[in-house]
Amino acid sequence: MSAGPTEPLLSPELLARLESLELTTRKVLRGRLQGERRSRRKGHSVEFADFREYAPGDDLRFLDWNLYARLDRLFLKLHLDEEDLHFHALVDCSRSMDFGQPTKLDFAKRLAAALGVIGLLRADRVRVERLGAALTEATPILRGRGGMRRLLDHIGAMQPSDEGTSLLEGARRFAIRNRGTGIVVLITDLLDKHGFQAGLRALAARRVDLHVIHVLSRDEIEPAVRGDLRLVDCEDGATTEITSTDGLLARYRRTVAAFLDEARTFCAKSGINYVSALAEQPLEPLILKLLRRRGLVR
Amino acid sequence: MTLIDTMPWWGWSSLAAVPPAIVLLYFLKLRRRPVEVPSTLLWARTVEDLHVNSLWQRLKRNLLLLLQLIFLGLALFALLRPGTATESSETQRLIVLIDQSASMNARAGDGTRLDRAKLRAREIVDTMPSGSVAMVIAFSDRARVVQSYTDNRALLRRKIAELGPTSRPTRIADALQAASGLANPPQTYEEGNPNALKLAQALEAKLILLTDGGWQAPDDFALGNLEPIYEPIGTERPAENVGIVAFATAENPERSGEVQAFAQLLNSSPGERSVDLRLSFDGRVVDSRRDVRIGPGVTISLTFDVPRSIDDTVVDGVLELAITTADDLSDDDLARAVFGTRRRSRVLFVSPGNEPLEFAAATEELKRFAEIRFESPAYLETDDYRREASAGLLDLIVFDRCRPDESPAANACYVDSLPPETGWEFGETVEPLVLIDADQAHPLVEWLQFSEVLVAEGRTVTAPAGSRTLLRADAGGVMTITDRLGFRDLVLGFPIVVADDRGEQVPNTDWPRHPSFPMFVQNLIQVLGNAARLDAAETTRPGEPIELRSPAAYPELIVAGPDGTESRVPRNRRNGYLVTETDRQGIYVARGADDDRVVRRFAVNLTDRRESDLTVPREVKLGYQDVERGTARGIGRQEYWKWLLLLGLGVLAFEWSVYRRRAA
Repeated sequence: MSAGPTEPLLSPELLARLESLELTTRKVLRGRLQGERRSRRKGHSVEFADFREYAPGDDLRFLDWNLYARLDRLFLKLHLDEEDLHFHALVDCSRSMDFGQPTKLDFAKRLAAALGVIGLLRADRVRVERLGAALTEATPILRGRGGMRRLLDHIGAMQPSDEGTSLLEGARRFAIRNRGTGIVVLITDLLDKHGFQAGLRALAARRVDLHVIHVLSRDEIEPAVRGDLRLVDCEDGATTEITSTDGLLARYRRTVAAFLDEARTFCAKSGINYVSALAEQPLEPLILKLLRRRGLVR
Repeated sequence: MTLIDTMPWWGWSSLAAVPPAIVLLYFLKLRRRPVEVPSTLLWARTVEDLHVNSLWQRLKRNLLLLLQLIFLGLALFALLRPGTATESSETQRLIVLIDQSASMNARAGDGTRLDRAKLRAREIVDTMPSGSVAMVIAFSDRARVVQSYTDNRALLRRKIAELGPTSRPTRIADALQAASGLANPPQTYEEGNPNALKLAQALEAKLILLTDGGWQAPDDFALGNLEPIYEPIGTERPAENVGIVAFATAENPERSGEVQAFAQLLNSSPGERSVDLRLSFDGRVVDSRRDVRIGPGVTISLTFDVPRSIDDTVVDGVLELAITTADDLSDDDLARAVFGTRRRSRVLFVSPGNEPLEFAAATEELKRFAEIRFESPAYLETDDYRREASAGLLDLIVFDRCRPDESPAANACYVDSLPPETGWEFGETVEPLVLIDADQAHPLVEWLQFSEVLVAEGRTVTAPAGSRTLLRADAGGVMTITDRLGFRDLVLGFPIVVADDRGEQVPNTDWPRHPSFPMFVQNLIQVLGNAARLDAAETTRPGEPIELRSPAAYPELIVAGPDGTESRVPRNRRNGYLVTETDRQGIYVARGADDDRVVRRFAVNLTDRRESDLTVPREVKLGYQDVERGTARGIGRQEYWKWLLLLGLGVLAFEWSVYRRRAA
């Protein structure tokens, strides 16, 4: 149940709010191009950071000639580097995401768009792609306000697909396509029959600041099913027969809670930022409050 | 809690297949609704550990199936007829007495009291501890051992089921005798002899009385080894019944040619009842009474006048009195009487001449019911007499101062002579004979006064043992009657007239001048001449024998009952026909076997106060012991199957509502 093409991914009000935000990371990440971001790496911005003695091979342009005049020794002026941030948003487009009202995929797309826009506004290097996208699939790498249109178009065109739905496979493909570091935001429901751990571990092994936004729809947390049912998995067609009773539903809720807890615990242990979200919840407070608190945006 | 095996093994085994079949059908019919979900991951995890036995999980989680199985379980359990009884496991010996009398035909619930009693008897047989033996005795006015001691329940059940209703009155003595005979066998006893022989081992037994009362046990009955349990039948509600307890007809003494019918009606209901009555003569309604009110426990008498015949000609017919208001017992709502089939008795006087006797026997009244002939003593020597006397064609022969060589096949009256049998003797001649008193209890001399009668001379009569003196004089008995092989001989010790020297008749007594003489002659002809009183319609009770007399000497009669069944009745020595098959109420028709001519008709009516009284006594008296009503404990039981079925129905209704809610 994708959002209609007429409906914009991001409302103008939200866009206005996003203007004031920027993506942050606690890790030192090397960007290729100079961006608007102050890096902990010493660099070439106008902001002075420190001095250090000259070593052969240093750029002579950064010698502090005044000091050389006074002390007759060569010192290098070190400036704080202003760098760009590589921002990757990985949207799980498996069929399981195409559930809920609005669908989890809609939610994921809007969230990815919002985060991508924040990145673009701060001249970060933004790449939003489907999790498990084929290696040959072209995904735009965008930078600057001018890329906003393309970003939104690209995200809007994402459709649920059966391809590469395994989290591990998606992580591998991502690793092949992107060698750099940066922020990786994975928006997924983590409903992988093979387990989400291997995939997350593969992602976290890269030197990236990994955020997992765990999206579940309310129907998954509080299912409104009754009677004798044959549940059909929309991805692999596996069936599970249940006779829905209050007892079973309570048991299911416990399973969901355990699942969320398992994901949270795993992420905490693996240094992954974990945020669980409801597909039905509004985007704005999520970004403005929760993600800010988790240090993804500022 | 005990169970009763109500079905053979194949019944149970087919029932045992039902629960698995329901489970199977449940899974066959169960169509799970397919629902697409994002992932079955969480669901699979949820039911993972439940899937240890997924079949069991399904069963456990399904309310509908559970309810169906509960219902089935309850139904099966009900089939086992669970019940509680304070039952001892030791074997028992039961004697079940089932009342079969007319009052047991009273309505009780859906059926009759007899049905209830049979049902209860079945229950008792069903629930007796294994190894026990039971005996079934049915009783009405007689007792019948329906089944002697056996532990074969199927046989007992069949025999109980075969018991049918009767219209007979109740007499329990024989049944008690039969029951007691086994429990209290006779013993020989010799004082001081340790080896005194017991003929049979005394067997203790429970005596279960399934009856509605209406009987009285003989006073000398002793229970001995019998433990009585009185289970009254028909106690659910007080019975409503008005019954005809007496019905008789007689000619109206004031208006000749008119018949009066007398009826007594008893109301045994707890409250006043009003009934409608209809009297019909040969199917024609001749009288009816509406709203005859009878108080509770009250007996009322009614008299009906029936114009019977024109110019005094006997008209055949059946008079029928019916209570047309329905009540609990219909057997006593109808009574019948038959007219006009009375036979004339035939009397032969053998006398050398006896004017007063001839005069007294010549009344119009006597001529109506007796055919009287006079012969001289010389007739005794003829072949005609011998044939008449031996063939039993006569009812009464009066030998006046003469005697036959051998006793005739008829009743006989000897005046101043002795029967040829041994044992008869005359005493000394007494002059004069003073008569003192007569045996007022005997129909021959009742109401007769002899105190003023003078007798010139006479002799006392010594009779064989077992005779009865009817008239006593100062010197001893002068009129004696005795039985002789079904006939009766009456001997009078003094002559009425004697012949003087010239052969003239000279009175020996002034008795003929007293009113008692013609009355005595009439009684003689009525009682010994087998002539019942005029218009006293022949009637008997169900099961009681009746002796018919026939004007023609048929070797046997064919008696047709009200239902058309015929029985052949041979002539007995007394020239009578003893009809014993009188079980049904109604009109019986006797025909001559030779010419198919209707000889006699008679009515069989219940008219029994005890049977019409449907109240069930609180206790009964068996000998010296009062037996309160009770349930055969240890064999009686509280059954729960009805409650189980009700509960099952509730479960079914609940199951239905659950199903409807889910299907909606």
